[in-house]
Amino acid sequence: MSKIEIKDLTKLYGKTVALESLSLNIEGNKIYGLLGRNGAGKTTLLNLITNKLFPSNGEITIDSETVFENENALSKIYYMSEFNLYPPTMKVKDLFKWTKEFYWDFDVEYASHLSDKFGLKKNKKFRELSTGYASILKIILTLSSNAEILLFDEPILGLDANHRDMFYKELINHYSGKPKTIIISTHLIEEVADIIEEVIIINNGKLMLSDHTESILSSGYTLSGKAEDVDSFIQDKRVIGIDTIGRFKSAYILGSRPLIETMNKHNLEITKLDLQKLFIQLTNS
Amino acid sequence: MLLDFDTTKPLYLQLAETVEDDILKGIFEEDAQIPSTTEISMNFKINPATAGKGINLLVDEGILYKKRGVGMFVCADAKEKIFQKRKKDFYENYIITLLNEAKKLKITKEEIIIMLRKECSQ
Amino acid sequence: MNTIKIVKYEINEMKSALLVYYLIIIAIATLLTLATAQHHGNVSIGGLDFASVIFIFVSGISIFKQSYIFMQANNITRKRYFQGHILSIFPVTAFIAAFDIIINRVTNIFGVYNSLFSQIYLRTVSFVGANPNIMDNFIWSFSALSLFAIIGYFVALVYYRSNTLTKIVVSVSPFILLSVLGYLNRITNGTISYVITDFFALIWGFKHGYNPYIAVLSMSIGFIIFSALSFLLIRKAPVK
Repeated sequence: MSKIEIKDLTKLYGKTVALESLSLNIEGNKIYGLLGRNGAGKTTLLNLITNKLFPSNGEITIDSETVFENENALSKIYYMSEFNLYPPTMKVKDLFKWTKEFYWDFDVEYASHLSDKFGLKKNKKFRELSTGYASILKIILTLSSNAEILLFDEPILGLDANHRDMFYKELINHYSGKPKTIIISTHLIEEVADIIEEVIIINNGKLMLSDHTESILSSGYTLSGKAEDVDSFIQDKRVIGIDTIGRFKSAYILGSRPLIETMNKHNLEITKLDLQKLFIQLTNS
Repeated sequence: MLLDFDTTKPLYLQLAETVEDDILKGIFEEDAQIPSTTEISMNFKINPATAGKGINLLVDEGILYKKRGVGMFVCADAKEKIFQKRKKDFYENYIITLLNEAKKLKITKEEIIIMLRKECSQ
Repeated sequence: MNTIKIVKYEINEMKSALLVYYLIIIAIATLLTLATAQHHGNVSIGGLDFASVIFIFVSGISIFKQSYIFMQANNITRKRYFQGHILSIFPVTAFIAAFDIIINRVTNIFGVYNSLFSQIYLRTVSFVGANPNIMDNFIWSFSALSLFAIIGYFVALVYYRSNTLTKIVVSVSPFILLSVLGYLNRITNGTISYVITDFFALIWGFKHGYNPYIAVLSMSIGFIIFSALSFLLIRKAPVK
């Protein structure tokens, strides 16, 4: 079980701040969703965790060992990067072979099985793969690596609906068989909302939220009804966002839910928070 | 099994209710094995911990039992237990909601009783 | 353990390039031998092993990015990768040095082929087509090839670490340096060129007779210097 600890992490590109004093603990054996808008700093964070980049300030440790040029810490991770880090002329089957050289637990048989399942041709060269199949190859390499920590950066880039469905199912199957720490970075929240056990939201390089998915969803509620009714009810509440359509209003509120019966008396309707809506409200700046 | 991902209840509760429904409908018979947590979470693409929580709830309520190394099975008196539980919930979930909805639509209590009689006699 | 695997990978990467290179070299050697066969003793062949120096230099440049990035995909530390790369140079340069000597000797049966080594260090003998001592030739070629392999690698790293502006500065600076030296040479009446020539004669082992082992020593020092500089550049190289 591997833990990732991130302390006061800052990354600057020239004068641009990509990440700003971000601190975060990632416990072992859970599926995390790293959510953020485009350019929020998700990829930078993953690149720093895997020492592809160097932080301007702060520290990252895996099981209390720094990741900086640390063989032991780094070998615990397989990172599905959005960069194409593979030799363009290398064939898929050779990529499996060479990955096995560096990840001793790499399961060539499983990789081969997954290739057949996803329809990835093992004799193709890396550069001959379409965007979707390049993603599939990287997914297969990551799942078959048997590393303790799997990082997926936008795993479903270019995947069609069938392949996306297969990916999510395979991910769950793989995780159920051998629990490990998995981080999925994505901006397509709806698709992963039910899969992730923990949510990390970053916005403009800052950590907005990090909590259990369920506690987040039960930490608030959505209240909808006639605009005036909603307005009068939410005056003393912590409102994180409001959607208005004509005279109909929905308010996203943090705090414990009032009783459904009392709300019904006010002609107000209560539903649970929706991760996607919460995300939009939190990162809407 | 079908999950409709409604937005008012936590996912694990919905899952538990779905399994109960399937037991009531006879899809899962008493003493029969139900799909594993992995199968359930894969099928609905939900976190295995969530699926486990839903299933464990039913184990705690004596509706399912675990055979070590084999899987989850439906208890012999599961149907009866679910009936009892659902009856209790029926009043809160349906009667109260019905009356609230009626109030919104300005339907009087007398009208409701007439509707029920009519429906029941058919 | 991983170091050996990196060496294996890098050598594997070099295999096909080496194969193509030697097919061309053997073809050229054969053609030249056939063409010069009638003029035995009067016309000599040279420069094939100089091509090897160019080849290893270019390979040093071209192998860097792809292998570095692939090692990063496998979360290999930069230090480990660098170790592996340095170690992978020697088997390749040893192979080229040996193979070039073989080509040299075989060609010399049918024609006259002066290797780079004999052209430089056997000049005093002024003996055309002489076969130098195999060990001397091998060690000298091996050192020269290894040095050019690391210089090529270093050049690739300098470019990789540079942004567009530094790239231009790096590319232009040798020319500026040469013109400045040329100018200084003119105003000092050739002192600069004399000093430089003298220095090169010293490090190449021409100053007091012809001693290839002085050159071997100089090239080894050069190898260490360029390795150290390359390590400094790769130690904090981001992936891009």
